[in-house]
Amino acid sequence: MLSSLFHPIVFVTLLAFISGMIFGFLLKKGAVFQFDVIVGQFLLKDFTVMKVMLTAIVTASLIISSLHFFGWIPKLILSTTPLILSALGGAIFGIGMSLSGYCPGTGIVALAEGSKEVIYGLIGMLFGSILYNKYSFFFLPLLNKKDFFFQKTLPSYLNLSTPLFLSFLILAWLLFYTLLERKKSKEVSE
Amino acid sequence: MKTLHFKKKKWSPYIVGSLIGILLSFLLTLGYTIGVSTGIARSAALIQYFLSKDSISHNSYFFTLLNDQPLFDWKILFIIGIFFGALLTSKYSDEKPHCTQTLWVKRFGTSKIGRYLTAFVGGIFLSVGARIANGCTSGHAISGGGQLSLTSWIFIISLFSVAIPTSMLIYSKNRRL
Repeated sequence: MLSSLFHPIVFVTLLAFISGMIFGFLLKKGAVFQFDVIVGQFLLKDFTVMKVMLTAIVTASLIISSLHFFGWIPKLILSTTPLILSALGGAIFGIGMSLSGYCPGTGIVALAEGSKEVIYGLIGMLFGSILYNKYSFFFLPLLNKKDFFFQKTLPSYLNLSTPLFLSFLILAWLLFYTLLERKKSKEVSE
Repeated sequence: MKTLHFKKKKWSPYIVGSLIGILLSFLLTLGYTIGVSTGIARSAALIQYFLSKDSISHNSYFFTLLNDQPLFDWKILFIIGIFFGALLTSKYSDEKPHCTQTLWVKRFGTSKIGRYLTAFVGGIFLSVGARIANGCTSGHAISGGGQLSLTSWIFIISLFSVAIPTSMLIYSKNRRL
């Protein structure tokens, strides 16, 4: 009975569902599913989104780089998207985020919160996927080229050692933290 | 540890961010990443498949997405997990669930139709953008960003440098339509 838990399909199903639940829990506790928090970030009034995102990236990069070094993560899963498509996609995605006030992940959280407009947003996302699929013959050859140049990491692209790059990253995060928290304490004292 | 109280509505963004980083690192040791938009695209592909099998041509994205995959794969199960995770969290939090949209109401009033329409159009932009870049905030920005991927960082920079002026244009209080 217990051994059936370790059947690959059962294991992957449980892992996907449980890690999804943890991710949903964290997005909820971070309040990043709120329209005001996301649009507030783009209006530079509320920095919650950047705080969550940058801290996640810095923490992950430190752990992942160490685990990769010790062989616990044998292979990184890096995107092969050409830079021009990442820039174009990011720009279109940015317009979508300011219009709707969420991204796909936080949209699911907003749905769980009972937000009504997110239903229209999710229908829009399904519709957008179908629209992309209709014209995917144009993008697929570009995405499937597997040009390994685009799979580079920042340290290798900049010709820096990973520990050095990580040190710069931590410094940048500390600067960001100090600036924001000082701004906050100023606002409180005023 | 007051900030980690499970019933507390909002946690420190730094703690939430670190925990997301730890979750991603753990999943990577097993060969998985965090991602949402591909699961949404897969759901769209399944809907189109059940409506009309023949409408999915062999050289399209949906065809590769549906090929040789179980019906509910990792990506869709992850999304179902997000939904139930958020639902349970709301249920056991101190405050009732709610979504504030004061920035929208300040600018456009309480009319629902306009909000629904922009949510719909925004949704289309989100999916098209995520598909062109092959990832969204979770799959590209966090999963790729955490692995220091060059192309993912370009995605993040492009996202913010377009979303900031767009939002200022749309939601700035001094502008009138």
